[in-house]
Parts: sequence; structure tokens; C-alpha cells
Amino acid sequence: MKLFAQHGYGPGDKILNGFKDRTIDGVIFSARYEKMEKITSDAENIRSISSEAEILLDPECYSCFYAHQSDAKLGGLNGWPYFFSQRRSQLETSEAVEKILTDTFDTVVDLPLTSIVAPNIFIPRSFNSIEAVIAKNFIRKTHQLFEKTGDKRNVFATLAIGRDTLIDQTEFEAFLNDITALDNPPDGFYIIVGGGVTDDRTEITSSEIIHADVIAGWMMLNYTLSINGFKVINGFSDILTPFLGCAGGYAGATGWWSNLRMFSMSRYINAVSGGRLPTIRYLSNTLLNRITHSERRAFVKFIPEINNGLPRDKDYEAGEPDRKVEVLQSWEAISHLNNKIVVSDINESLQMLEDMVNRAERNYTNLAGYGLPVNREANREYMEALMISIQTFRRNAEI
Amino acid sequence: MEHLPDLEQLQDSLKAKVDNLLFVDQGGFKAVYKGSVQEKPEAIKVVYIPSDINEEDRIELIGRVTREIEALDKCKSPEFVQLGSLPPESININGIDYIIYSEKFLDGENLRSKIRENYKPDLSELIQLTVTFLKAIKLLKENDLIHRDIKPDNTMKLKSNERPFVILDLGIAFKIHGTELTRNPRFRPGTLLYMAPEMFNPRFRESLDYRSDMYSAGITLFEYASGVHPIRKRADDDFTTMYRIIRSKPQPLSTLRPDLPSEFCKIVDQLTKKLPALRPASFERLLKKIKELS
Repeated sequence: MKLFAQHGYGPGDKILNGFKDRTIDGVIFSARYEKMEKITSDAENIRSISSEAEILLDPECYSCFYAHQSDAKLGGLNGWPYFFSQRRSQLETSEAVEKILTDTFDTVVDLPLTSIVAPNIFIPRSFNSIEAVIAKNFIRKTHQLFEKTGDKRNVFATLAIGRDTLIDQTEFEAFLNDITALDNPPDGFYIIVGGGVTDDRTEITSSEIIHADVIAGWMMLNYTLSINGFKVINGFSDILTPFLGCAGGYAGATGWWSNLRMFSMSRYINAVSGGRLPTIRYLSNTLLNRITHSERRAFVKFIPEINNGLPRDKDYEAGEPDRKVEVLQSWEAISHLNNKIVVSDINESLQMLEDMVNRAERNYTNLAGYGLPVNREANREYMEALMISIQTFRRNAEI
Repeated sequence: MEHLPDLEQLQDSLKAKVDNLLFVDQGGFKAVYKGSVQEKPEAIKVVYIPSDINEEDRIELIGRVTREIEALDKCKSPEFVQLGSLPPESININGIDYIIYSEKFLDGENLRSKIRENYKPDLSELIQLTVTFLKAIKLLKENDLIHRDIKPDNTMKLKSNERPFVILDLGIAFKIHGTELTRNPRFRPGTLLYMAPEMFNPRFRESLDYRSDMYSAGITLFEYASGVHPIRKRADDDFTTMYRIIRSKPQPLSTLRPDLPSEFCKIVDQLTKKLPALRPASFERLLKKIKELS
């Protein structure tokens, strides 16, 4: 399974360093933070390090319903020619959907991207909704309209959904049945699953995404689409990336801010924030979680495997590292998990995944036993959700 | 079939059209005979129309014949039986109504007979059967049709390498976008043991697609390959069988046919998944995979 950098505010040289480390295989540029005129030089810089790098652009059209709001936080999105404020009722006509798709393709087709991500809207609550009907229309027309550009690159339909959509099993299954049997389907899907309202410090592991049905549903999307021949790229998947890989996903992505590690539509609304920056953390594969530098130093004395034993560990040896190192360590950790756990036999992969969750749970129990503060209740719930999600996925996917 | 017509009386009714009539087989409402039409062998289909049924049921039965003929006319390919030279006509024998028409005669036997003989097909034969099913379902899909009754009894193994298998009986084929058929609950839309789980959803007409035929084909392939139906248990009543179709996970084909490549077994297993989205939807990809195994 591949790991991509989820691009956002303030990339600096993080992405280039990730390619140098060989821990990322691609990048998903954010149209909100990447200017059209800058993509060519950024892509060239990436290719000078990794000629195989996959370069995509998320057009972020799913934020179009916010564009007319005074407190919208859209960054550079208004600078892209395809991006306009939309009302839901406008998109109920096929002509409007076709115009957005065509305008987006016409804009991005000249950019040095390796594949094209099509626009779509966000389905917040249910697959039995007006938004879902509009989103399906976008998906149905993605390939048909992309073909008109004459471009031969792969085109990915965007499927941006709220976590609640994955909980209503009946509607979710009906949706799966629909999108796996399209007459002129896209080459793949770019999937984003959004949690509720989050702030700058919400981590995916303590978010609404960590719910057994949500994770199992996200895995199910990857599984059904992959067995039907689609490539699935998961945005904002962070530590869940190996889970999605075991289910057949092609790639996952994560970035350097907490809002690049999990998706929420609240990122497009101006929130009261400020204060100090979040604490720099270390992603421990054996805990499946991020811990602070001081926690790491304390835990490792009792459980040495808290350290991943990977090259980026050395950046943490002398104390809290520079902030720009944090994401490099995260990419290294997740990429290592992907390589270890995602194998061609799905049963074997799922077994390794279960072993990994069991090991993490044992480690939390042991740390608590040593009298170390590990927020035991929250982590117990986190582990339980992960374990049940694997079981639920096995059952739903009839494995 | 109730009120199977007397062979001599039937021959009399068809004189000047069909000679040398011989009984071949029968089902619930239909009997099949072999006869010569203009000196060529054809399968003569005789459909019984009961007199004690209401008008709606009568329309349903007659509609099945009409639809089968229309569907066969659309699906002119080696994977399907072809229409014969006798167009449908109503006849009355001893006060009982029948509809008679003909199909091209096929020299072979159905898969049910082979299963009863404990016949074990090899990989190349199973690949031929899979390819026949996929090509047939693809053609049906292109014509907005769902067969709904693919099963060993409706699949013939012929004595021909060029045309190894043929699918029969499109009598309950479902026309997507505007069929009126089989709304009567007395007529089950398929054969229970081969019906896809989604067919038991009362709202199945809203979402039914070609993957229900993929399921029936998968069950047929499983049974033909192993001699065992993957879901049925001998003592089960219909209700229990229905429950099993919706809920029970079939055992993997590889446990019954370990000699077959695991890739082939996985394809068959995947075709029999409960959720249509879990069944492979792309004919091209499946055909490529299957051909790679040969």
C-alpha cells in the first residue's frame, strides 16, 4: 500500500524530505493552499527526487456550499477558475454538475499531475439524501466527461462523506451496490471520511472517526471498490491507512497538522483559535498512537518496543525535535506498518492487523500496570473500536 | 406437468407441422418434446394453461411464453438456445389449453443429470462453463434483461467443443426499466435454491441488476464442480433454505475441490457473496482472469 503526503498550510520542505526518506510515494495537493502557477515547479522538484512520485490535486469542490458564508475559510480556493459558490438546489440539475466537472477538468488537465481527481460535493449524513443523489451524479459523469478532454491519465471520482453515512448499513450497502456497477466508471475513487466539528488539536485517534462501524465501513468501501477493479486513494487516513490497505486500498494519506490527519468540514469555517502550537508527538507503532516526547522517554524504559526502531527515532533522542520532523516520523511509522501488514492474502493481512491491535492493547495495560498515566479509558475505547471494526468488516465483507 | 397431453393426440394436433414427436422432459407448467420440423429436429415446447386459474395468473403464464420468445429473439448468441421454426400458437386437447412453440434442438444433457451421475468436471470444462455464463449474462445486461433462473437444470452440456454449454429458459427473465412480470406472489421469481439473496427483498425491483444472475451462475458453478449445493441442507424446509440464502456463508469451493486452482475457487466463491457489491461486476476483468487460468 502506498502512502501520500496530504498537502496543506505551510508545507516548507517537508514533502521533499518525505520523498528523500522514501516514506511517501505521492502527494495530494490541496487546491486551498497550492496556487495553480506553483504546481509545475513543485512537481518538478518532487520528480527530481522521485521520478515515480504520484502527484494529485484535490480540487476541494466539496467546500463550495461554504463559499458564500462570511466566516468561510477557503484560502486560495477562490483563485481557481473552476471554483464558485454553489447552492445545493443548483446542483440538482445535471447541467450544473456537468459544468463543474468540465470546468475542473479543463483547468487541471494542463497541470503536471499523474492522475486527476474529479470534483464532488460532501455527503454529510446519509446515503439516502439529496446530497448523495448529487454526489452519485458527479461520480456517474466523471469518466464520461473526462474522456472528452482526450487525456489518457487515470481519473478518480471523489467520494467525500461524513462518518454518519457509514453507520446506516442498509443505505450504505445500497450505495455500494450502485457505485460498483456503473456503466462508464472512473478509474478509481478518492475517498475522504469526515468527522464532526474538530479543532486544531483534535487527533484522529480521539475523534468521531474512531467508531467500529465507521472504520469497518471505510474498510468496506475500499474492499468492494478494489475487488471491482478500482484504485482507492484514501485522503486524511493517517493511522487508519494500514486498515484500509488490508481491505484493498491503493493508498492512504496524512500530513503535518492534525487537520491533515483527519478530515472535517469544519476546516472551511473560521474558528476561534490561537494560543500555542500543538505539542510535538511521536507515532509509536506498538501503541498505534502518538505520544509526547516525555511520555515516550518514560514508557520506553518499561517497554522498549515503544520505539519503532526506525531511522527517524534518532531525531527524538536528543529531546523534542524540530516541528518539521514530526510528520517525517509519522510517514516513516505508517509506511513501515503498511509494508509489514498489507499483504496479498486478505485473511493474513487481517490477522496481522488483529495481532497489532492486541499488542497495542497489551502495551496500554502493561503501562497502566507500571503506574504510568496513559489515559486508560480513552485508549481502551480506541482499541476496542479498532478490534470491533476488524470483526465487523470481516462479517460485512463475508470474509 | 399437470395434464401432460397424450402423445398421440398431441401429434395429431401438430400434424403437417411436426413429425416423429418424442417426449423428452417436463417441468411445472412446461413439457419438452423432440420432433421433426421440415425434416430438422427441434425441441417442441408445450406450456399448460390451467383452466382453474384466475385471469391474472393466466396472463402471467401466457406472458412468460411471450417474454421468453422476445428475450430469445434479442439474445441471438451461441450461449443461448435459439428459437425454432414453429411460432407460438394456442391449441386445445381434450378441453385443456396449451401454448406450443419450438426451439432449436440441442444434442446434450443438462447439468442436473451430470451432477446426479457424480460427474466431476475438470478445470478446462469449468472455465468453458464460466465463460459461457459471463458472455450470456453480459448479453442479457446489454439488452436490459436479467435471466433470474440460471441453474443446472437450465444449462445444457452439448457434445460440441465450439459450443460446449447453452443456457435455456428465459421464461421469467426480468426486463429492467418497465417489466410488469411476476408480480403475482403465487409465481416465485426464480428457483429458490438459485435465487440471489437480494431477490427476497420485497423492494428488489428497484435495485435488481445483472449481479443476481452472477450469483445464480456462481451457485451453479459451485454445484457442478463439487456435486454439492453450497447452501442447501437436505432436511431444510423452504423457509430455512431462504434464511440460509440470506445469512449462511457457503463453505469455500476449495474445501470440496482442492485439486482446482485456488484462484478459480476464489472467483466462484466471490460470485456467491450475499451483497451484490461484493460480487465482481466487470465482465472484462473476470473474463481476463478466467482465461489466464486456462
